[in-house]
Order: sequence, then structure tokens, then C-alpha cells
Amino acid sequence: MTGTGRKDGIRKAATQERESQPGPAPAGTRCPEQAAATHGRAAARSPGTASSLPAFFLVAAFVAVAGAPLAAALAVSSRGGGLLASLGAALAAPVTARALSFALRQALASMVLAVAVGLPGAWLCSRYDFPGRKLLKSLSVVPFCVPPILIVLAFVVYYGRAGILNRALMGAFGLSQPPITFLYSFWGLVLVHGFYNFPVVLQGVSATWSTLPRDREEAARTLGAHPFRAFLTGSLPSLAPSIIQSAALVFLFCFFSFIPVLVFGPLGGTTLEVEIYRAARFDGKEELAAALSLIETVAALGMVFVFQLMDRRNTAAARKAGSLQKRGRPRGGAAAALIAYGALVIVFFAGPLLSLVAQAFVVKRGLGGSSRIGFDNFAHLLSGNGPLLASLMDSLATALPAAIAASIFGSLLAVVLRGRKGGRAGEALVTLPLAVSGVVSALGWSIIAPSGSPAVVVLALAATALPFSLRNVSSSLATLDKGPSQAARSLGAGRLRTTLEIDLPSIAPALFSAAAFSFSLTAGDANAPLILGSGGFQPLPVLIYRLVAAYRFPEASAVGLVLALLTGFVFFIKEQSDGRT
Amino acid sequence: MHKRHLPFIALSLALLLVSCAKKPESELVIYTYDSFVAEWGAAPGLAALFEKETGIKPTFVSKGDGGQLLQAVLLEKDKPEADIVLGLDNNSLAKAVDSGLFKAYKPKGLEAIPADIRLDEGNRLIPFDYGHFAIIWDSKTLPNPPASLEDLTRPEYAKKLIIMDPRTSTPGLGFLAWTKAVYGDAWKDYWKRLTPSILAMTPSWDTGYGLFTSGEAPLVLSYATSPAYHLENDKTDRYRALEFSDGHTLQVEFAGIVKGAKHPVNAERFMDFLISAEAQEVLPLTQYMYPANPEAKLPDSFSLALKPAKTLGNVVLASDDAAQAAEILATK
Repeated sequence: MTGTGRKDGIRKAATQERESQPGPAPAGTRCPEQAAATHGRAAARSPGTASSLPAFFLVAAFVAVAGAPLAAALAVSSRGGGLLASLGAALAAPVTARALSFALRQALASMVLAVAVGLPGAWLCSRYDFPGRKLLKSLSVVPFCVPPILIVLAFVVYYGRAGILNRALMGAFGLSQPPITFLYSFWGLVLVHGFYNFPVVLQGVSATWSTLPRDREEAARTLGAHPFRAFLTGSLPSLAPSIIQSAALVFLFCFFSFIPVLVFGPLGGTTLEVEIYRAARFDGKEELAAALSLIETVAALGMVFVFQLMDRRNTAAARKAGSLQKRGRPRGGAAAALIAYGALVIVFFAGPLLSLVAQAFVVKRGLGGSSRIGFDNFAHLLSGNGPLLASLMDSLATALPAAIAASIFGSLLAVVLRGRKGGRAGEALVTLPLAVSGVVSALGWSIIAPSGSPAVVVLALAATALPFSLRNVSSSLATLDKGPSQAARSLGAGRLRTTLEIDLPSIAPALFSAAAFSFSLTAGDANAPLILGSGGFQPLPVLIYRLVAAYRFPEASAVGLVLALLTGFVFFIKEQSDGRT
Repeated sequence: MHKRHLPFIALSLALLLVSCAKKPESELVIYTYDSFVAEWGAAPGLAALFEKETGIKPTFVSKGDGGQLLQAVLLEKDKPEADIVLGLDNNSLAKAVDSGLFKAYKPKGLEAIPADIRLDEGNRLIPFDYGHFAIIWDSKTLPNPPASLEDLTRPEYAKKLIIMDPRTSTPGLGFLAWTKAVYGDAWKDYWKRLTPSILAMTPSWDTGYGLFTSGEAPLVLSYATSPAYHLENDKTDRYRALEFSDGHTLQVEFAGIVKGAKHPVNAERFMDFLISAEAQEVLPLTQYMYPANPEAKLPDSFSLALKPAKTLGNVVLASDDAAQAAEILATK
């Protein structure tokens, strides 16, 4: 199916271990566009470090790669009666307004839930040391690489009418009917989206919260303010940027969501993403699909812009953030809150994921569908003609080059953009790939290269990963100590030599971290390889998709686990590498 | 640059080169939908048999879902890369024939194929397998199954049915055509009455069937041959196809030679091969559809596949029927 691409991009942004980048919080804790903006401001203080010509070419290349799908959509929607006619026709169709309104409503509601669940966790993680703290924070890593189709099945296996939760409740209370039946409704969809995404908020906000000086909140409490009020006046203004940033990412993910919307949403519900897919892939109305793509992208950009406006008001407050604050052992009320929160996370979030892991070991056999537990699914996938190893190689062959390309290009871009006044245009530019959904990206690239090839897949995936690697390296550059390189230059070292021998080694960890991050981001994408790949090319997400399409759910879960382990392994190396710096 | 990163980078660059490298020239290119090319799909078996027989190595290329296949071919209209397109169904038949993309060719042994599935009289598209749409019933969790489309609307089946979205999937369209074949213009009223019975309308067959086997609902739209899969692979006869008194509509799958194909001779040989009994015997256990050629032997598990007594004629859907159906469900 579709709708996977952008999702991964968006959510993985928030999984970055921000604490690993010490120093002033603003650059390290914000979106690429905001990070770029911060550098722009920093530029006023330090002279530019790159000449204009390479900068121009790099930015032009970025625009070309990131904007290619949109340019294709623009070209296609301009055919026939022209761009305005296509846009007019798309806007005039009643289904467009319905799709847009539904997409906005469910995405906003899901975002609110994700923030509501994520914030208490962020507070606990930033204030207290407890067993499972790192696990809680890295929970966000796990579902990023799992294709939505498996997430849907995981939620069904867990929350469904015959699911684990309902069976447990029916057994415990002697009920004859399943008590949890709201899954297939607006609020069911919001629950799935919200609980699937809250770690994005938890992760993003706790990074800022950990470095937030507590004096203001403590001062307010000393003066007799209620703890909640003290939080509102003391900490919230400084946290706002990171809350808004992670909320915006969750919003975009839900706005572009595809399979969960159709499965769990109200019957006959539709979003722009669904309408684009339908028009392009089913009805053959390419002009309409292209016009709808433009509308969706503009709507997404508009929402991101609104979030940025809200953010700007609070930026000054956030700058005051300092070094990592001490964490204590939870006692009394905090311990109780922690236990309650842990239970909430286990019941609502970890449950579905664990049921997916369990599913990977289920071996079906015998009459009546009885089953047992074992490694048969893996053994079968690895045996003689089994597809797993070849698929793993295909995944490596796409994700590694895409990750390397994205991180090298992202770093170059970060270097030339460093110390430049970005301005709003620059910010919008870097945001662009985030606002292009998976379906739109695949549609655009398939217009450019109709026959497709693994190379096109690599290019499309690299474009997806670019904003994140750019952000990663930008943050690292922002905290770079300029002393050594200035010293080297004053001692007569050339610019190239300084860059190669002093600056590059200091950002190498960030570069590697960007590559690892881009790798996990691209390894989980099924959309680009499915639509743009060619025969015999079968990376892991495509294999999962095909297994699910062939009734083989346990084997699909097994491959999902392999994909999660692969991504987890790469993240582990990255963490080790980050940890040493 | 840290030394420990170098192997990763070297490996990646090597892989980048490999992924950009040109593939060797192919002798026969067949565009098909995704599940056909999977390891457990029909393509590997057919390719091996065909190569053994003729020495020609066919290349199967997946072009996404069934619904996307025709779009992919239309995009390449002026510069066809495919010799054969395999996997178009009766819903897209008229559009495919009208596109003028396909060359008439009468494969050897076509007479053996029943006339009622040879829907293109000009022989541009040749049927290779077929199956009836049917509601599959989980006999373990629902005591009294429905016996007609009208039965499905009864309150006892409230939220017990999973169907696929006609806007995004072929079985979804097939179900819509089925209701239109039975109710004619009154299909919209039927969909209104049916709405309370529907638990979910999924974007594709796989998601819907996954929900069904996870026990979400005891009734799901699928094919009359689906129970054969469970008997063959899960050794269970728990899932049954329900025979409806209204009759059932058919899905027929077609293949055809593309005009201007680069390997026309090889393409004709493949079409001859495709409807031969030998090739057709690959299909039941990979496609879980009935082979078009009745001379092909069926596996034992097909004893549980339903062959309905009454087959309804092919219904042509209007272009906005699917959107209207969704609208009906959305407004209730």
C-alpha cells in the first residue's frame, strides 16, 4: 500500500537523540528550518564562512531534488486547460473540501492526544532517573521502521474485537461481548494516531526539558504559586518551541496518513492523500491528482507556517536553556505518577507492538487454526529459496546509498548555509520536503521516471532524508568551537586544510549520526520502492507488503521484526558513536 | 573522518554503483501486478517452466496493485517497455481494449477456454484465470451465516462484515459491481441498508482479509476460492465461502501482447504457453483462482473452493459509482 514514505520522514525527525548534542539548546532541539534560521541570526555576529557560488549551486541542487515531485505535479496540472483550470476543478469538487476538512480535523485531534500523552512522559524523563527511562525514550524508534500495514494489524490484534485487550477484559469480568468497540470510528482513529505518535513528543520535549533551568518555576512556587501554575508561568514558555515542533511533526504525519485512516476512520471517510492516490493510480486522472497534490502540499506548508509563527513568539524564552540538569530518584507522588504512566504506556502503546513481536513467532498448523510458538517463520524465510537474505541486501543497497547521499549533501548544504541570513524564504525551502507527502513524492517521481529503477528509489529516498541530515549537521556546526580553527588559520593554515583537518573531524560524529538516522528513515519506506522500483527488487518493507498480501501475516511480522532489529542496530551504533563525543 | 566509518562509506558507495549499473538486456518483458511476482506467486513457476520449454527467459516486472497496472502501461503508451501485460481484470477490460494498446493474437488452444470468460471478442486480451467474488464466513464465531446479499443487511449482522473500498481496490469494485448486477439502479438503496452491517471498509484486500483472520468480523468479502488456501496452508476448513441465492459475479484476469512490443515472437510463444494445461496448473496454488483452461488438474484443496451455481453477467460501472458508494457510507 501507500502512505508510508513521508510518515517515516516526519516521525524520525523527533527520534533523534538530542541530548547527545550538548550546548545551547535552540539549534539542537528544533526543526531544520528553525535551526537554519538560528544560524541566520548567528551570522549577524560572525562573518560568513562559505563563498556564494558553491552555496548557490548547492541550494539550487537542493531545490531541484526536493522540488522535483512538485515541479512534475505543476507541469502535469498545467496540461489541458492550464494550471488554474485544473486547480479550480479540483477545488470545486465537493469531495475535496470533505477530504481536506476530515484530514485536518483528525490530524489536529490526534496531535492534541499525542501531546497530552507525551508531555507527562517528557516531564518524568527529564526530572527523574528510573529503570526503563532510556527504553521509554527510544520507544519512538521502534514503530518508525514498521510499515503502517503492520501497525494497523498490530492495533487490531491488540485492541480488536477478538483482540488481546478485549479477551482479557471479557475473561476478567465475565462479559459475553467485547467491551472495547470504538476502534472503528473517528475517536478510534485518533486513539491509534495519538498513541502511535506520542513518543515523538516525549522524545522531542524531554530533550529541552532536561536542559531547562528550574529557577523560574521554583521561584514561582516559593512565592506560593500552585505547581501547575508555576509550570505554566515558569517552564511552559521555554518548552513551547519544542512542544510546537514535535506537535507539528505529529500533525503532518497524521495529515498524510493513509491506511489507518481508511481502516479505522469512519466508513467512507477520505483525506486528500486518499483522493490523490485514487485519482492517480485508480482513475487515471493525472491532472486532477497533480492539482490535488499541489493543494495538499500548500495546506501542509500553511499549517507548518502557522506552527512556526506560534513558535517565533517563544524563541527568546527558549534561548535561556542551559546545560543538562540533574535528575533525581522518583519518590512519593512522582513515583506514583511514574507507575501510572508506565502502566498507561504498556497498556496502550507497548501492547500492540509486543503483540506484533509475538505474532512473528506464531506458527499456524492443524485443524481449527491451532498454533504454536517457534522460529519456523524465520527458518522458512531464510531457507533455500527464502526471500529474506536477498531482501535484506536490497534494503541495504537502497538505504545505505540514500543515507550516504543525504548526509553528505546535507552536510555540504549545512556548511554553505552556515552563517547566512536564511530569511523566511530559506526556512520555507528547507521545510519543503517535509510538506510533500509520500504519495505526492512517489507520484511526482513516477511522472519524471515512468519506468522507475532502484536508482530513482535511492534519489527519492535521499530527498526525503535531506532535511533531517541537514538539521543534524547544522546543530553540530552551531555548537562547534571556533577556537581551534581560528587558531589554525592565524598560524597560517589554509581554509581547505582547516576545514579538512579541524572542522570536519569535529562534525564527523554528527555526519555519521545523520547517515545512521537517514538510513533508518529510508530503510522503512515501502512507498518509493513499490511505485518506483523495478522487477526483482524487493527491500524489506516491500517483502512485508507482499507477505501481508499473500495471507502470510506471521511471516510479515517476522520480517517486520528483522527490519526493526536492523534499524535498531544502526541506531545502536549511532548512539555508541554519539556517546563518545 | 573517523576510520571506523570508512568501511560503511566504502560499502555504500559500492552499493550505489551496483544499484545504478545497467541490467542485461531481457528477452521478454511482462508487466504484472505485485503479488504475481512474489516468491510464492505464479511468476517464478511459470518462468521456470517457460524457460525449460523454449529457452526464453521471461522478466516479470511488478507495477503495483492490480488497479495501478493499466495506469502504468498507459503512461508508457508512446514508448512501450513491456511485451506483455498480464493481470488486467474485467473491470479494466473495456478501458484497456479502447486504449488501442493491445495487439490481437489468438493463442494456440484458445478453443479450450470457456466462451463465457472470453470477454474480448477481438482476442486482444486473453483470459488466463478467474474466480467468483464471495463472502467468506468464519464458521467458528458466527452460527447462522447469511444466504443472500439482502440477508447481509439484517440487524443480526450489524458490524459483522468487512468489505474493501471500491475507490482503492479491485475486490471493492467487484463487490460494487455485484450489488449493481443484483439490484440494478437500486444499488444505492441497498448500500444504505447495508451500512450498519459494515465494520470496516479497508483500502485493499490484504488489510481487510488480515482483519478477518484476526477475528475482527466473521464475514469478509473475498473470493470463492479463498477457503482452499486455508485448507492447503493452515489445514483448516473453518473458513467457508457462502453461496448466495442472488448468484455471484466473476473476476476474470487477462493477458495481452502490447502493440510495438520489442519481442513479438517470444510474446506470442508465451501467450500460447500461458493457456496450456501445463502452465495453467501452476495457477490454482499460487493465484488461488480457477485456471481458465478446464483441462488443467485442480489440487485436492480446491474441494473447499465454491463453484456457485449461478454466475451473474459482467456489469459496467460508471466512473463515479465508487465515489458515490463511499459517500453513501459516509452520510449513512
